[in-house]
Amino acid sequence: MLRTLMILLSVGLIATMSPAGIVDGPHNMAAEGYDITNDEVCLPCHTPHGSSEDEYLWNQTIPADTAITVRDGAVLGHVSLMCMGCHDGVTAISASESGMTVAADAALGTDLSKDHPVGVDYGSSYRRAPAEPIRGGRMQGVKVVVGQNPDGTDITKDLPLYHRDDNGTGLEQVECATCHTPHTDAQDLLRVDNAGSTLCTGCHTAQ
Amino acid sequence: MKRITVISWLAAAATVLCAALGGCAHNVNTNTPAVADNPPVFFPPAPEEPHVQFLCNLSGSKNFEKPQGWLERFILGERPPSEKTIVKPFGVAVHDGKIYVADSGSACVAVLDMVSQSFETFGTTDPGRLKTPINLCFDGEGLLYVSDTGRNQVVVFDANRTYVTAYGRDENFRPADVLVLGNEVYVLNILEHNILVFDKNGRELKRTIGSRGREPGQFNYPSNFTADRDGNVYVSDSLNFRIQEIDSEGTPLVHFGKPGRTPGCFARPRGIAVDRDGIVYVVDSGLHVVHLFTHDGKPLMFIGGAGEKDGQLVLPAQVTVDYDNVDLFRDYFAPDFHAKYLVLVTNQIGKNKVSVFAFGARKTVASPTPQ
Repeated sequence: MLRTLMILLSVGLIATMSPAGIVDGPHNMAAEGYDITNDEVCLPCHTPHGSSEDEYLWNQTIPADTAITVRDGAVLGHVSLMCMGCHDGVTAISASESGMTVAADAALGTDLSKDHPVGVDYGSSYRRAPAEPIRGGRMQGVKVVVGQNPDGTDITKDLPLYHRDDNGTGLEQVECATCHTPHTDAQDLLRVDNAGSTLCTGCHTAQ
Repeated sequence: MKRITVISWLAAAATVLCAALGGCAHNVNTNTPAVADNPPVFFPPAPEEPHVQFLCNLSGSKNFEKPQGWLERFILGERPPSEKTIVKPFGVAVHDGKIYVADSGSACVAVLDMVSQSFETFGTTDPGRLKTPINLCFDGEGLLYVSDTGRNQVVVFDANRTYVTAYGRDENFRPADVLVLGNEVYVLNILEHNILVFDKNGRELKRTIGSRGREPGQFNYPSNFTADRDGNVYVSDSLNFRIQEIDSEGTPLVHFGKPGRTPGCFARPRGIAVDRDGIVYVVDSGLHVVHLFTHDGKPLMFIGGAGEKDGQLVLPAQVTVDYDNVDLFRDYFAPDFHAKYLVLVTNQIGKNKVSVFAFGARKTVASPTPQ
């Protein structure tokens, strides 16, 4: 009885603590025996610092407990790089085969009819909705109108753009996480449902 | 006296002509100039004792082009570019002077022939048409086994690159990796988190190793595996963030690793290789490095780091070690570094498709063995 109560309490805690939907969605990759209350469902993407008393035997200039950091020096933003680490056709469906063209991939080809580029500057141009501050001004993004409040004001969802200092242009870029989020069980893990092309026209405006 | 002068004049003319036509270069034209032009990149970096030297990056036919000599350009004009490149590499194996790369971007096996200095592809025609080739390995008879997650089969080619057969018509698996040990073919089934062992000749399923979970002997999305000379299998148990060594029956022997970014931890362990002294190489696609461990899991060092400069990696996938073809890259060895074997790493993104390193030691010091 007490055990059931504890489990129910834990489930209740999860519902309030963890990002909604990931536990029920396809990004819950925890195996049997995983302790969800310890946020272990977050581990595949959110690598912790890791507590370690080990030192590198062959590199004593790096003290124990020093973390390797990844800079954005590499071709594609670190957000998309992380997604593609599993979406390579092995652990999960390949990003390239599902219609995403990685800007850095050599095989862009000339037929982009089913592709959407990733790792490209959003830019400000004709037929593009403006990027504006989102998430309390921490980053830039595009606000997509998804409905109306009873008082007539817009309900919007944010599509974040990712800034990379070293990409030469210093502009905001479209990454996988601009349109997709793993913290959900929504169809195709989209931030905005694309019924009526709502997601597409959020950025690609008519004028 | 006159005869010698004529001969030496002819020799001089021939040399000039040869140089004008593009030189008699022995070096492979890799993305990196030969070591004489750049200071060598060592891991760990100075002041530590070097154990690995970065040699060069390879990407495709561009590596074998001889630079066009001025005379040829004058007579024939600028040679048009005809570059064929590896697109999205994963598995890599070295065999008989050639580097074989599973290229899921071009749905083929790409071959960098370091001896004849040519670039070829195969696996693009039926019935051996590949869809999403991921990993590959050779057996003792020179047959090539390619694990293809698009076909969900292991496709076998012979030494003439002719299709022989395919495993997996009846069983439902997603083959992330394949190994041939003796008369058995091991297939890493990432869909069911287990290993299927087939008889090499009859192709019947002999046993299944492992299941999903986090106990020793269980796996969670195991993405790659390799074997040592004793026939023990090392599994890159990716979403358990650990490496597991098991024997041929699946009995767990050793395991190490945990999630993190500090020594001894993994972000996303992927490809794996083992050298003859038990050093375990683990590709970490999250940290863009290849970790080196002792056989029982003590962290030794790492190579790589995110980027496209010499020695850096971008979304690395697989690693392999090779003792038999070290001499192919002798032009790149640092003068005071003794190369013991090659370490090749594939990068899924960017211009450096295959990064070639050498494991060894400084010449004044005996080859180190791990503590």
